[in-house]
Amino acid sequence: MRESLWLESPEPESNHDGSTERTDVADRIRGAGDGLRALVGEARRTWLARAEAGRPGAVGAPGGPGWRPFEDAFPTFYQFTNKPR
Amino acid sequence: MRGIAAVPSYVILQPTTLCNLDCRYCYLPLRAADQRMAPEVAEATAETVNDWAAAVPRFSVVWHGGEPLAAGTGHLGRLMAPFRGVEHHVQTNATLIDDEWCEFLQARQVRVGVSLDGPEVLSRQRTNRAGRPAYEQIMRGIAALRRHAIGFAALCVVSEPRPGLAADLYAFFLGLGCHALGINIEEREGVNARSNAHPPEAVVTFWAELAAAWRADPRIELREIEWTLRYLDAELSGCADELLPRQLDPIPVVAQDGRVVLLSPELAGFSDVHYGDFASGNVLDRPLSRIVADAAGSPAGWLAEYLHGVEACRTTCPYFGFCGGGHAANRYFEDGRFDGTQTEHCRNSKIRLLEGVLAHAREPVAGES
Repeated sequence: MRESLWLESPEPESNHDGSTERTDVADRIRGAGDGLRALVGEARRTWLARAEAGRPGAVGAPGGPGWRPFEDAFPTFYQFTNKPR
Repeated sequence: MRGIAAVPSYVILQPTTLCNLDCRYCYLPLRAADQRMAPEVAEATAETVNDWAAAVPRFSVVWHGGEPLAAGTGHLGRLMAPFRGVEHHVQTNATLIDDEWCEFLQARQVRVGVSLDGPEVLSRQRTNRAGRPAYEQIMRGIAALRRHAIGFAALCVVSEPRPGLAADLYAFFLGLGCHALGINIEEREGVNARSNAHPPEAVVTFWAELAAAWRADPRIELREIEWTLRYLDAELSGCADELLPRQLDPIPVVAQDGRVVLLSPELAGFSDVHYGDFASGNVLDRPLSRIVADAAGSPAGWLAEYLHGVEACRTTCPYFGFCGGGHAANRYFEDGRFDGTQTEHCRNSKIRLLEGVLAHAREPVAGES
């Protein structure tokens, strides 16, 4: 099962020289089936529930007012957010 | 607009090079030496940081090591004292945390990130200087945090991502009580020369199973999976281009001796015949604001080469919209230069992460035919 999942979406063998035919990842995402939309929908509901739960604490405390759910959890979050458009 | 911003959203400071542990995958070159930051370095840094912090709602100062708590409460307190209007963070191995440290952290509202690799059997590479696992010491420190009701995030290094690992790992951190979890696939970086090449299908499956575990019980903010979902959500909504900042955050790292390294904390403490010491200046010689603005305004040396590398990623890599370009330290330590493109770190922690979450999304939901 896992093997078949993997074979459906191989990463490019190489793109060091730009010669590899590129898969359009964005198109593949937008063309994904209901499974992805369901998963993203669940994630959205989780984020909304966390925001509404508003765990007690000072401003900026986990779940509290001013809490940035991604950026505040980790001092080293830059590994994901620090990239240019 | 591209390039490096002139003002960061946070800074990283190294109160000491020392770490009381000697983890087998550690990248730090000077972790056996106790070279402490002088108060003058913190004061010089604060002169700029306090102005930056006054201009925005929130600004973070991250105390990173070595092991920052190895500096001791007295010294770390002196280093923190000049800062005004900032949020302090520490990233710690937790082994030194006791009631005194908890009181210190609470008094200053310090946000805590704990480094731990999962249950005991998976944490054997986090060792003390005698080569023995530090798991019990780490858990004692975490128990102190919990006793004092101090919330914490966790960072977990996974050296061998493989099928069958993620569910147990996630369950452990659920039980630990952390509010957030980051997963770092071990990187070939600094003095750690171990290979980080893994079978692609093993890594994809690891991430797919981690996505499944989180989906079943999403109480923890799971950095990699949730960031991927945030990107996928934005892509499906047609607003992925709005997700990333316009420019790179310079993330100045102020080393214990005052040298400032931008963009990659992992480069601090290293030098290279071609690139020098990677530093853009020293806060004891020039204001931090000037150092950052000059380097961002006229990138030179390795910074210029790195920006070329990012643009090479943009034009060649189909995953650029998700990844944003390979990190500077990974490029340097894997390829010896900054203008290459795809690294093993890219493959393990970005490409296969995205593919793993997509693979999970394609799996049939339980109960459906």
